[in-house]
Amino acid sequence: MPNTSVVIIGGGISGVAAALNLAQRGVAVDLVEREPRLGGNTLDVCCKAVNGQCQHCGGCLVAERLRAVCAEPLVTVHLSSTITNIQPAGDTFSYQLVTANVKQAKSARAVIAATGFDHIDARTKGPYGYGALSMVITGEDMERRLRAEGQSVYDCAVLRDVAFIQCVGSRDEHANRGWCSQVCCRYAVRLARLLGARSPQTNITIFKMDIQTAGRDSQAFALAQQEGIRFICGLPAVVRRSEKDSAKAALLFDDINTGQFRTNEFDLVVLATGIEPRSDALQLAETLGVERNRFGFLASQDGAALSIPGIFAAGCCQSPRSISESIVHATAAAEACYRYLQEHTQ
Amino acid sequence: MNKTVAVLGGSADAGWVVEELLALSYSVAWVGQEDLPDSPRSDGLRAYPRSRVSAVSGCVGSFRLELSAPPERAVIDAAAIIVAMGNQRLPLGADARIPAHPRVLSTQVLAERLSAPRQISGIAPAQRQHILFALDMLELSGKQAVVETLELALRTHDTWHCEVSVLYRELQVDSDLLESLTRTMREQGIVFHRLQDALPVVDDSGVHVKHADGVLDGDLLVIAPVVRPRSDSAELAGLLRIALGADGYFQQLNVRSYRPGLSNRKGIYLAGRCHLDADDAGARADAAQAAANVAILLGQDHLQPETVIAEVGSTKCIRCLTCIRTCPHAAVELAAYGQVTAAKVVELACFGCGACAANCPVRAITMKGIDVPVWLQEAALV
Ligand SMILES: Cc1cc2nc3c(=O)[nH]c(=O)nc-3n(C[C@H](O)[C@H](O)[C@H](O)COP(=O)(O)OP(=O)(O)OC[C@H]3O[C@@H](n4cnc5c(N)ncnc54)[C@H](O)[C@@H]3O)c2cc1C
Ligand code: SF4
Ligand code: SF4
Ligand code: SF4
Ligand code: SF4
Repeated sequence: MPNTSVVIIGGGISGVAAALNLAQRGVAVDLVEREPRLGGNTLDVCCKAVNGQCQHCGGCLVAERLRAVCAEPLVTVHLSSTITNIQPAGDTFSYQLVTANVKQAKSARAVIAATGFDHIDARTKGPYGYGALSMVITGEDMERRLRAEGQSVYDCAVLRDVAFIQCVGSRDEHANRGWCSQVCCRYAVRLARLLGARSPQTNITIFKMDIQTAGRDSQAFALAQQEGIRFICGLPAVVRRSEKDSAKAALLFDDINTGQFRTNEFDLVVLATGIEPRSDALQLAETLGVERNRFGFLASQDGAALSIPGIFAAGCCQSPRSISESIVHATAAAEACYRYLQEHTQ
Repeated sequence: MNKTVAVLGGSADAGWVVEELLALSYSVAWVGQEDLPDSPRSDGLRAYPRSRVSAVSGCVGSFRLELSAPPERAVIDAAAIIVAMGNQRLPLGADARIPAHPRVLSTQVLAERLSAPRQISGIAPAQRQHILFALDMLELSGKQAVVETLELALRTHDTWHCEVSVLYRELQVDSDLLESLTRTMREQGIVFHRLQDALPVVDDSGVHVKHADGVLDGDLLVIAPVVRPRSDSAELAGLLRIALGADGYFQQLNVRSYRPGLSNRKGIYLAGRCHLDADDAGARADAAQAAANVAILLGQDHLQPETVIAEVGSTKCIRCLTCIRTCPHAAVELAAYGQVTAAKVVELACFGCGACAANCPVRAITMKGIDVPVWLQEAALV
């Protein structure tokens, strides 16, 4: 399909996967990434292999695609860039590509938004003491450190009791944050298994509502249970500094077996934070003229198509997903986009 | 190049794949063990209902599938293959832990009664008082089963105006659909309870299920479908020489070469619920994904090998077959080199991963860069 070009906003794994698919089918792509590098949030995802055995977290699906997209002649990557002033003009869209304050007028036959997500800020969940208590960290922190410093960073004899708290900032209808972030059960169970395998003396407890295992993921959960990781139904009410030992955190939770409040102490508390719409998602939706759902993710009626023909969404900007699910969704978005181009080009 | 795609499987998933491929103007050969669902009439579609694949040869770009389709045999030449055979459901009686009793039903039976006219629905109004829907009863229910069961529970509540409760262990939710479905259900008075380990007890007075806060008594117990890989998955995987996961679903679990939707063999793709757990919306997106991957292959004028591939030195080879066993991509076969027989790498099928070279006991395999013109490579394969 010559002389057609598509602009993809966002160079995370979703934007990259969509760009690769379109380019390999002969469509020229402008891939616009705001940061000075491609990869987005996947660059913080660590390898969770336990004793060299892969846990299928999806982390290594990224590097090879980043390499491929840079080698793809039909993809032009614009780093440290963004776009403004998108206007439909007949069968095309005109827009401005902004790179370091230099503006350039361009046009495209179709647009794919792949702007991804923001990490949930654990401070929104005040009672858990993130930011104030040094032994309270987030899943994001843990992934980052493991990735940057290697699998041994949490190997230490003083970690006797570790707690994970699920759904921090997700699945909370009262705060209008009723969505499930989809990835935090998966990464938390895997990180817990990794910690447990590296430090057998560590007791691990996961406080959860419902562990999300759909999508052929029940194996990791079953293994975690076999390995002695304790799952407790119900999320703690508060996390405080322990009165007995100021290096420890005290978790107050409702024990459904006894119906009473209990306090347990932990050396490390990991808040399983998830995925929320980007802080500038509203601005993007307005620039594109498309709708958002009640939580702020880009709304699509049918898979990837947004409310304006010719504009599509790929990956986490449309709904929380894992890396492999993002690749699948982005490929499906590329497919919808290609079909649209076929119908709108003679 | 032949642009026919063989779609294997008579499931709804396969139907969506066929639709996507026809929209891209590829020729489709659709093979199903059963009758095939209705599909759009199209010149590009040849359907082979009630047919079984009995042999597969060739490689990406030129697969040949032999079908045993009584009364005659058929042969399909296809450039690519999409496996979309779906999954299967175990009948309720398959597990002895579920008591056989008229008060215990599958979702399918309940759905039939729900749409039947009142007088023949087979349930006396008195029995309609409290219906329990159980997810995760014997094993954790997947997304497809959860969506179906919850939608059915809501429909039952709306149609029969009876009391409805849902039992679960780990409730599967998502970012929108399921969260709003469960919320609507709760708003309409449907109560959710977390199951305890004990099995349901059924007697003439009703069904009794233990849950986290006590025992729930109901009149009917509806069990969410237990979904399994199709029993013929292993046979097809063997014929196609593609990998199954430990759980019996299609998926290549070799870390270095796992690609969503791609099998371990070039030119063979996976779509739908034969390789993932998804509701209908997810399976549709996956069909689009599979078609998009096939389109990359068929969009080319000539197939090209990878830039680095393996090559067997036929005079060194001692025919130990190690490489044929170790190649994760089924890219090595035995072939005649003049008078001698030795291992031979099928160039188009090779990923260049080097596993064969690393394992050959006599170091007969080298990795070579390709600089031969493309037309020559294609000619060599015919
Ligand atoms: C704590 C945590 C752990 C996780 N662990 C795993 C895991 O183990 N396995 C797994 O599979 N998944 C994991 N995930 C999910 C994974 O991070 C996502 O699936 C993936 O990052 C989604 O990719 P994306 O391209 O949709 O979005 P992103 O990664 O967010 O990429 C979006 C890109 O768009 C760019 N962008 C945004 N707005 C603009 C704009 N206006 N103009 C130009 N560029 C823009 C951004 O800079 C970014 O590079 C985890 C997520 C979290 C939060
Ligand atoms: S990053 Fe994840 S998928 Fe890759 S090897 Fe490590 S555990 Fe396996
Ligand atoms: S994935 Fe798990 S931890 Fe994350 S929001 Fe959903 S249920 Fe909660
Ligand atoms: S390099 Fe060897 S093992 Fe790897 S795909 Fe090619 S033939 Fe198979
Ligand atoms: S492993 Fe080496 S010796 Fe054995 S069949 Fe293959 S090429 Fe020949």
